[in-house]
Amino acid sequence: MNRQDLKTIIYAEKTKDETNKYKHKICVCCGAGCISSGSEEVMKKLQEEINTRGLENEVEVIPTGCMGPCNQGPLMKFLPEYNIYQKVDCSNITAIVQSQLIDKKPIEDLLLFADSREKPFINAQEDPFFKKQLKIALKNCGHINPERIEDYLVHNGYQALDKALFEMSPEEVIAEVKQSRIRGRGGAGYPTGLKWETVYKYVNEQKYVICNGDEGDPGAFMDRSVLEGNPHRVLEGMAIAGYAIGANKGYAYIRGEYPLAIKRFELAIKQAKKMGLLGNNILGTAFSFDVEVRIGAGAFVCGEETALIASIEGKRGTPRPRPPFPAESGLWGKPTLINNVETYAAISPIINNGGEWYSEIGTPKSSGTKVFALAGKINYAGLIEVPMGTTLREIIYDIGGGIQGGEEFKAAQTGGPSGGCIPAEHLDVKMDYESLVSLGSIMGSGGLIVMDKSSDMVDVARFFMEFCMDESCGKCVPCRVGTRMMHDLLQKICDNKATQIDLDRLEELAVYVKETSLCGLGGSAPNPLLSTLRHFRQEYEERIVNHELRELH
Amino acid sequence: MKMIQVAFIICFTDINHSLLCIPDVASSSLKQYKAYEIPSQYLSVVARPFLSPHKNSGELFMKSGTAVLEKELPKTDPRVKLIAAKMKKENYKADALIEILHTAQNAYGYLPKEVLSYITQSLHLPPSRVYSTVTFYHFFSLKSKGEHTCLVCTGTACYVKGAQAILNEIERKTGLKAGQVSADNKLGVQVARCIGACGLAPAVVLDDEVQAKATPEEIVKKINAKLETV
Repeated sequence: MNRQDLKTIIYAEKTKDETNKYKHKICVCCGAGCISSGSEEVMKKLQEEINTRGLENEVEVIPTGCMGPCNQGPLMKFLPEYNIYQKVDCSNITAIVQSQLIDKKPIEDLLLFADSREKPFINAQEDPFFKKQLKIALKNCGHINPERIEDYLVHNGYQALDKALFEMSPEEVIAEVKQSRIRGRGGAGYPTGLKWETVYKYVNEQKYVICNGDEGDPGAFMDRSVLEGNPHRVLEGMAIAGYAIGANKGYAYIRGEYPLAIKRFELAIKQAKKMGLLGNNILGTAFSFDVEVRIGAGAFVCGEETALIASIEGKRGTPRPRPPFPAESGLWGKPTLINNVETYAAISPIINNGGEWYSEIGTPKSSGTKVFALAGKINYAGLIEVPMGTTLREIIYDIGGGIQGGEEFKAAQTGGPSGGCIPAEHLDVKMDYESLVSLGSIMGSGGLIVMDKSSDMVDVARFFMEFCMDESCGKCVPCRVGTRMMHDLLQKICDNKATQIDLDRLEELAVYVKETSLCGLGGSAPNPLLSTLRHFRQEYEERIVNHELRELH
Repeated sequence: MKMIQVAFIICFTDINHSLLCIPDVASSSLKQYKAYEIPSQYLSVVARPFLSPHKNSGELFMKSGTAVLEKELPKTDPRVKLIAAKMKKENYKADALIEILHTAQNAYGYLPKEVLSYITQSLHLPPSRVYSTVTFYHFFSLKSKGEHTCLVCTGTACYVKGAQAILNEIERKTGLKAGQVSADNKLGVQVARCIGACGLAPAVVLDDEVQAKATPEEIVKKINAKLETV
């Protein structure tokens, strides 16, 4: 298919949309979260209900990706009114359809509602949960059917690829990405444009593009939702990256725990190939690009880039020392570009709207938006996207609707087992790469877990250390032995059996492990411990003092 | 069943010679394998693929006359056919090993040794390479996971919302700890690091079905219901 054919298809789809002019659109969230809550049955029942009422020419039912507040699912959204119903159940569908479509009045009691608020917002766009967000990577998630490429095409899909191929040289694409100042969304925050340029400069007939979808941090599900809600966006980002650096082959490494994301991504590849948007001579140009899915097998360390490459090669996922960096010698020794799912998802808007537009969002050092996965003791647990520099308070209280049960906020954990805890006195911290590091935490991939007073911070540190101990690949000694020793010491403190000497040793060990480990797993494993020690030292000391007092008596 | 292969094979190679050492079963050097839970009499290290990258040593091995046999898989078994088709699709490339293991694990529910031997032979890989890969990744299991599985997510969000209480209750009622399978192989209890359903915490997966916002009592009730229906 060439460029003209694509335009014809888009035009045909758009006119179909206009001539068919459905009076109502009902989006039913079919993300993994809502499916687990039963959204597929809800959708079936809804379609039946509409058919029996003879409304099928007026109402279109669309299965979409994640809408956001996952814990209130299954969610159902009526457009154009923008009324969102929460916890929809097969039993109340008849009532909802009757009231919404016939009586033209929403049922207020069933609308999306956070316990902390007085009453639900009739138009959900007024809800701070949606109002305070700025969706770029997640733009079409929750609006389009992720299993139809046509839906994506109508919403400007693959226009950025078209633009890059026909109007820009690879150098110009890289310059645009550099100008956007976007930083890697996987956690480390390395400037994406710089990475692209480095790979571009290595001369080799074979280069690779890898999409890191091995989202191992417990408490994070951004990549899953992006892959499920809009797989074509990621695919498009990868193809643009391939064009920019001169690669013709891409791999998407997706966690084995995400069967739905794998299924939808594979379907997206198939559809794009059929349309000539992937494969040989894309849109009739000389550029060819193919993508293959690799399924992870449950190893946290495979999120580290060199370990991920080993895993794609079918080996044990153990990291190797860098340099050489993958940009020079990666997959099968060839120059390789590795970016996170969310980074690729942000590429097509950058190409479409220009790097300058993107760089103006967020803070000077961290541009753009970031997707966070809110979870824990919060009223709206789910997926959000906010400009960099939004304060933690805004995220938790305005967007997240506050702490469950009106409890007091104690700490927020960011960055998973590599990150740390932010205490209540720093609620006004701006969420960007530097501010979080200065508090002893990291941005990480975007998991944000809210804890109230029922969480014991020493046990939280022990929990993460147990995770790192289990997930350590065993290659280097500081990580393999160090995490085990730190875990045992933390267990001792939790059991109220430790002394001051143990605590001193723990702190000493933490520094050793941090400084001497080979890869990021060991290097950041002590972070949860160090940050809880920094902000909640009294909880550690209380246990030691209590123990020592008991010993005296 | 032609399960003859017993020995661990060490191949010493210099420029011209390959030597094979097949240690005595009774010798102490085999004892260390007990740590990996392989019964020493069934140390099913398959020799041919171990040597196949070097053709000469392969010949030498055949001359030495030691049998190279593993338990044969019934070729008509649909599960075997599935694995064979997958390997063919992947062109018997070594880098597709993990993909092929996924297919095998999905077909059998775990990775029986004879299946591993079959894959090892077909891909011409050293058994050590396959075994080390299988044991590295959490997803792969060398033991049966039980007819019904109960997977408790212990990711951070589930942890904060009380996953441990669910595990404790399961252990109290069924006597099974995480990672254990009941004696009659009816139920297996496992933990996951994070299944990415954090909005629904605490989450439990019963036979591939996610139970959102689980409570200890409800889960135990559902487990009992599963066990009774069979």
